[in-house]
Amino acid sequence: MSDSIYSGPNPTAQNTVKVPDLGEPEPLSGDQIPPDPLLESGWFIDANQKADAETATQTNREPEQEMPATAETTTTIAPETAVPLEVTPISQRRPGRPVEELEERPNWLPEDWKIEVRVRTSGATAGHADRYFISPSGQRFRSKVEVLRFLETGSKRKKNLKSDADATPSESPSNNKKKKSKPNIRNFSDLKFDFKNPPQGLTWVQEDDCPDAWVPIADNIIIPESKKIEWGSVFSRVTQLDRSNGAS
Amino acid sequence: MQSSHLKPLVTLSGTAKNSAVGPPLGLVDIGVNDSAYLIRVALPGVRANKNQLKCNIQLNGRVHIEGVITESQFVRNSSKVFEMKVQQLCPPGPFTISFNLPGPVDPRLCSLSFRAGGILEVVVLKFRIPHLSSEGWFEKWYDCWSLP
Repeated sequence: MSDSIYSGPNPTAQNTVKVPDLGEPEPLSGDQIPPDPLLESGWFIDANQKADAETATQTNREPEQEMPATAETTTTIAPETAVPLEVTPISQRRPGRPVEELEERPNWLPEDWKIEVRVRTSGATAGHADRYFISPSGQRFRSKVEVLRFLETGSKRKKNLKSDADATPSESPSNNKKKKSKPNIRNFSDLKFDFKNPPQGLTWVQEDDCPDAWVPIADNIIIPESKKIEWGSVFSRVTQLDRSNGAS
Repeated sequence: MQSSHLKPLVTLSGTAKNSAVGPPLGLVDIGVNDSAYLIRVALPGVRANKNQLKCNIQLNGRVHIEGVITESQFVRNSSKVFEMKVQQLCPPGPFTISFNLPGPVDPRLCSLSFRAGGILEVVVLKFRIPHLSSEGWFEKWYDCWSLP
């Protein structure tokens, strides 16, 4: 036998390669698809709009949100003010949010914005009414959060669902914060403290009746308050640093 | 060997020396962690009067605590003199308590507290030098067991 036979893929390895093909549609399990930030609770991508993969994702997540108990009875309520959308038959609506209610103008919405209510036509949640907010320039938003974010930052998130799914927006800001605050203690470049040359000795004298007021004295000379404060901040910084080191 | 290293000899002088019986002055606890030593010293009868309690901390880990045991306020505030029939507490007067910490410390980096319970607590950081990256970020500590 030559070495090359041994180093080649063995039968078992080939078998395992095939397994994914035999396996069923695992890829859509909840773990593998991060929650879509654009699709918040109760929102739905219209099945008519062809994006099959996303629809599948959505129906997958839907059960945990709200699903009409029965999606069969078909009454027709045409949302009159609904702007450029297909008039759709709806099935049983979620009692809490009738179309009329959704059409009411929330007080946080600027005057020049429009509201659009769409009713889902198919899928397990057919009949569910979705509300959109249309900016004066025609951009469509799905939630109050998105609108307010847009009003605050002036930018809208890219519509690219895939890249959005990769980076959940609610996470990234807090991550940045963490990264910012953690290195702060570790950044010693602003410290002028001379770690290498402590004094041979110091006498700390209790200053008043206050249990924690102590004055450092070196060679019978009182150390200036500013030094004492600097030492105190180094002390707490190092203590904090060691605590965070111990935790990790 | 190690335990004797961790339990330093405590030297008492002044009135602290006389309190062999009873709730003694100068009982010491010393704790240690990665970064610091914790010292707790029992100082019953020591009042936190201004400039009366002193704690001298040396780079080599030597600690001296100096203070004064005050007289009973009943003696102080009246002309009466009491002849002591039983005396287990430290008699009034100055005292010192001295001991060594297990390693060198930075005398600047300490926090002291003497509260009503009569326990003096001191946390003093070990003498360590931080190793920094070229941009000034902390990477690790170098323990300084040998003094410069």
